[in-house]
Amino acid sequence: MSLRPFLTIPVEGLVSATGKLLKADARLLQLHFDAGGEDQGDLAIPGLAAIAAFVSRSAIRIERRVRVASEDHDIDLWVEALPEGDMVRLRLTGWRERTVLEPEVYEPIQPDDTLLLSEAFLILRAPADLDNEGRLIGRHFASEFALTDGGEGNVPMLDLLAKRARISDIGVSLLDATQNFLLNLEPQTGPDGGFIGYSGKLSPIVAPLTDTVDAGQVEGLGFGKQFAPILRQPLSRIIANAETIQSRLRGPLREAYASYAQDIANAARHLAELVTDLEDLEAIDRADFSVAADSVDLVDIARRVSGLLALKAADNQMVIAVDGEGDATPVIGEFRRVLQIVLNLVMNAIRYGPGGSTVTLTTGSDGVQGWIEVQDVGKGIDPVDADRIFEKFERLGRTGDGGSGLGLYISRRLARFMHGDLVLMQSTGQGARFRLTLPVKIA
Amino acid sequence: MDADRLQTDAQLTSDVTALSIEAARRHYLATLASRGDLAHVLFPASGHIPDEKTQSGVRMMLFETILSIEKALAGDDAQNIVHSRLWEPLVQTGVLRNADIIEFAWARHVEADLEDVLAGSAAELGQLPASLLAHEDALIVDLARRLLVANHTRRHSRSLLWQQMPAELLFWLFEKLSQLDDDQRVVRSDQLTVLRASFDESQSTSALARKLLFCMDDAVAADLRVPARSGLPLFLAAIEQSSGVGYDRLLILMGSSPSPAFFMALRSAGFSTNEANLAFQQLFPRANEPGPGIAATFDAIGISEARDFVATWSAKAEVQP
Repeated sequence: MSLRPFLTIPVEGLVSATGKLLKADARLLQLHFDAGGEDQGDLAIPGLAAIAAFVSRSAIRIERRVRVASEDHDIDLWVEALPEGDMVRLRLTGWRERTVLEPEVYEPIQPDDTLLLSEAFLILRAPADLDNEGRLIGRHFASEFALTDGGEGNVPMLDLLAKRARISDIGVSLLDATQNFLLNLEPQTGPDGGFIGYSGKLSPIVAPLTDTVDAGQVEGLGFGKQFAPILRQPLSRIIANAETIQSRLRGPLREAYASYAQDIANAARHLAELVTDLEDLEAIDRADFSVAADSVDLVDIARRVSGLLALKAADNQMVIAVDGEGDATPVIGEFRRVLQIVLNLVMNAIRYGPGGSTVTLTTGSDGVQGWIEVQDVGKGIDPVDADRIFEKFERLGRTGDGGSGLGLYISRRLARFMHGDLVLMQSTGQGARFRLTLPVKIA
Repeated sequence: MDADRLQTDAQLTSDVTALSIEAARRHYLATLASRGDLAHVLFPASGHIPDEKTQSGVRMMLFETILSIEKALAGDDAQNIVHSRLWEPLVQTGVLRNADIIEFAWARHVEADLEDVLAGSAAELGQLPASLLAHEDALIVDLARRLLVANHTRRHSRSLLWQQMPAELLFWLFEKLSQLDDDQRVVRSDQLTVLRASFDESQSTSALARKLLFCMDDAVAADLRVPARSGLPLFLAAIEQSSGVGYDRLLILMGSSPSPAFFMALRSAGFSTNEANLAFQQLFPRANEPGPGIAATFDAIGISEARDFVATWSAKAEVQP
């Protein structure tokens, strides 16, 4: 039995409580520089930075396997992280090199404005208008873009990369500060189902990036950029605190007060939904709004929505059923937007459907258009209102249910941006039946 | 509360002398009141409802985990710990409804069941870790030895259960326990800090299996798909590495009895039909053969598709519009 090249002399580094790489052996230092780090700066290798941050906070020794990028290949490492006072000592062994996956493994072919990152966050493709000379290709993402500091040595972007989490509206800028962007990236899986990197968009923004947007400083931005982040933060805090009180995590509480706390959490959640809707409303009304042309399987969407909202439905004693799960229904659209539309339809069905009923998701295709239908058994919608319900702020006289009257308007606009449509169908029974159609992906 | 459920808790009490019948009844009411509770916390999309025996087993593991912390805090006085002082306040404050700690307890429950089966077939520790004791490299020998010892100790001493926790979960739980010091004075924060500092995640069975796997040669890959040869920890660590599904989550997917989820987890790690059948026979020797539907379609399910299924089943409700 032969040995893998494991038994190298450990390479060490020392990280401060605020995440700065204070001291490191040459190989670790080189990795840090390759990843865009600076001398005595924040540790720029996402997997290692996340481990160091946890050990610094918890003072617990851990060992983990981590994959990092060097200049031209990925490296598998075994990382020991040991608390030393308020610092963390990293000890790396292993150094098993892996070939960086080529962009060809990504499906479908990406449009020109897509940003692709490898598993170790090397840039595989960059938007043509940003990088027409191909200068960014093969460079580490963090070595080309300045990442926003979240305070206390925490860099949110690095945490998200390390967790391979979805990245939504994170601000970055080119290191030469010539341009600022909002970054939206989806984790990607390869043919064998394993994580292989990120794909998504860099959307240019006109104002300089700041950690917390100051309404007084930022001019020329609309609601989404200017007020949404300011509102969302305190709302999240209200929801979290109210739920903490309601769940009695800090000790016994009279039932009535727990109930008030739940009311506060619900009200704040509705406000947060409204903020999101208004942000979306502004986005889709912008002249430069666009959607990606991903390959999306509507059956997969139905299954995901069913999973995501199963608990919500159960709260209302309802069930979400997915019909026709057997055959894939591939269409062209932006994955997260399609998911957003179907989530909105099912949320409405749950909100307005009677307890004990079933919300049914059905998918199908006629070869030109693929479709997904959401059918509930609620009161239904009068045919004369079939178009009116898609108008902005239209509530059909309903109040107090947490809706904003924007969901269907936004959903239909999004569907049409993707060359599809969202319509209210003639119901086959009791309740409402909405159909989202999107162009079929040609094999 | 029906008679059957009370009976279940009475049985639980007979196994845990520290827990009175009344306390068992109250903790049942307070923590896991409904039959599908565990499943809804962990698998909102799967319909993977644990049976009553599993729910009882998970409660037991939860209790033993908390008790193991109390014993560790007591140090030399551990033998004098008769009553759990932490259980009741943790139940009342809802801490034990946390999905991660339930997942930990559930996985330990399934793990114990599966290892009992492997022990019955005289393959408790697996041939592979034992054979590695003769390896030419000292590091691999050391890791194999530590894995064998850790696995054996874990199986035979529940008072060390807390040492098997993932670091993040242990940190979170100790933070909650510290709050009990602030609020109810049932545990001292300074003792918790000392105990936490003594915790070393790398000594847990799963961590040792992962590290041994990282160091080992590809030549043993085939052995890793045969649980009686690899032993449960290496078997799970190898599937975790191939499929991306976590060690404890895999245990829960397998459950205490075979299910489509078990086969889907194996498929997501690239098992062939023959390999899956062999693992099935070794882990569930008393079960009926897999249904013809599963056997016929196993190879037809793509690995990527299997991973999607597993990911969907285990998805938590992250998006709440």
